[in-house]
Amino acid sequence: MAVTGTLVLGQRTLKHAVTDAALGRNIAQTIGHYLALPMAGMGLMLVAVAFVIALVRANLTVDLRGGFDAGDKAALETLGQLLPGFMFLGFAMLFAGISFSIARILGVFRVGGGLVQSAVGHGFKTPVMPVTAWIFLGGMMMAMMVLIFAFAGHVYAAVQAHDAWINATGPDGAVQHLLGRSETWGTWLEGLRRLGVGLYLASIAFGLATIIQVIRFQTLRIRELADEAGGES
Amino acid sequence: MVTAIQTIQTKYGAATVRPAGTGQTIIHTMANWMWLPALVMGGMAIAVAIGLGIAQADAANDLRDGFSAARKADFETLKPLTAGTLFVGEALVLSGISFLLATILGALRWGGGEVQESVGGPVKTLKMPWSAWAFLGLMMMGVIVEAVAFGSLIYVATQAHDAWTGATAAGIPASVEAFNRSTTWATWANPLREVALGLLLGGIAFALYAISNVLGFQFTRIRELITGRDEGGD
Repeated sequence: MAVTGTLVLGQRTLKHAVTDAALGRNIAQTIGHYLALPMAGMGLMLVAVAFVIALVRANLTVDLRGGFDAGDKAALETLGQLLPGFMFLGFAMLFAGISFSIARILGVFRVGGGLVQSAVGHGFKTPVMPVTAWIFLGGMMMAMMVLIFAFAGHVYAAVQAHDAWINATGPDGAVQHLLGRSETWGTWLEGLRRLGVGLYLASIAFGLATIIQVIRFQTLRIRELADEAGGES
Repeated sequence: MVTAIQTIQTKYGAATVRPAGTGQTIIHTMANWMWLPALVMGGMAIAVAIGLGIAQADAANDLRDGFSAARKADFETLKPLTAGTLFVGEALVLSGISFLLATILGALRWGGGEVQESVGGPVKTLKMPWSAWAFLGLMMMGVIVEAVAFGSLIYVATQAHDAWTGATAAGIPASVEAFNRSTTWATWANPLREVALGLLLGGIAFALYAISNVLGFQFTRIRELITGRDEGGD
């Protein structure tokens, strides 16, 4: 059973658990261990998809110069909503890849610290999950949800844009209330996307702050182990 | 006693065993020198983008006083330049972060060698893992794509300028061809700069992954040095 204690460096105290055996990765670190690369890979693919959408849109703008076509205009406006949706869903996955890599590093510190302490044989001390780690986790999950919601919102706005233009007879023939709804959603979703990215960046900062705390703890623990070994000799 | 360089397989990838520590690679050395200039240049580019944004806002304000071709041309020229410069700044900041991560990898490589050499054991160093190569590739692609996107946006700006210079009424460009070129190029060039940021972010994810691998390897190596048992093979 774990017991909480403190390691002291000057005025700082660091909470930790004392156990009989080395601790393995916790569930967040395990998820990070396996999902870091798949998330980054999916993110790169989604960004590529978004760029293909941009190329298709550029082609449609050229087509529309030849004369108005409701189908082309509907496709252009629909893709105009889907493009930021896919781009930022890709960013969400890339940020998730970065966050999971940070969780993976924290897992390596936890397992590696246990490996070294088991080799020395003076008991196991592992830092208790600090508040920065909880904020990192919570912020990351919120950011992911915000960006997925923004993607769903862009799909809805894309549907509205499509319905607004598909039966239009000319450049001014869009169904106004559908067009307005699409544009309104697009406008506030832009803010939501920025919020999601901001949340991700903030949570990554907290993840890095957690790494700093773990390194500080391990530095103290190494000194403590050296002192104990010196006392025995 | 190790007298020649040997290659071994570990669960973290291939590693070399040497009698003495290795220095940093050329990539690490470059990163040591480049991270600060990249961050500073990024900050400067963002400051320039803010200046361009203010100038664009001023041009928009002038347009409210009445249409003139020069004012409209100024506004339409500054729009892609502001966006392009802002993203160049963001890309440079992300490049600075990437260089810093490469610096960390270099410090781990050099420091690991120093520690092993000081305790008198053979120096085991992880060979550059595939995730580190992916990091490098993505980072370089990101910088190149950003440069292409910025170049394209400068082209968009020149076309927009040509389109509106000489125009006699709002909404009717003087050169329809230049106007069409600028809108078509802007349609794909703007997302391209976001692709560049995506590539750089992907590179950062892979760099952190590589750091986790190197740390795992080093913990295993420290354990080996303490116990005296070789755990290098897997």
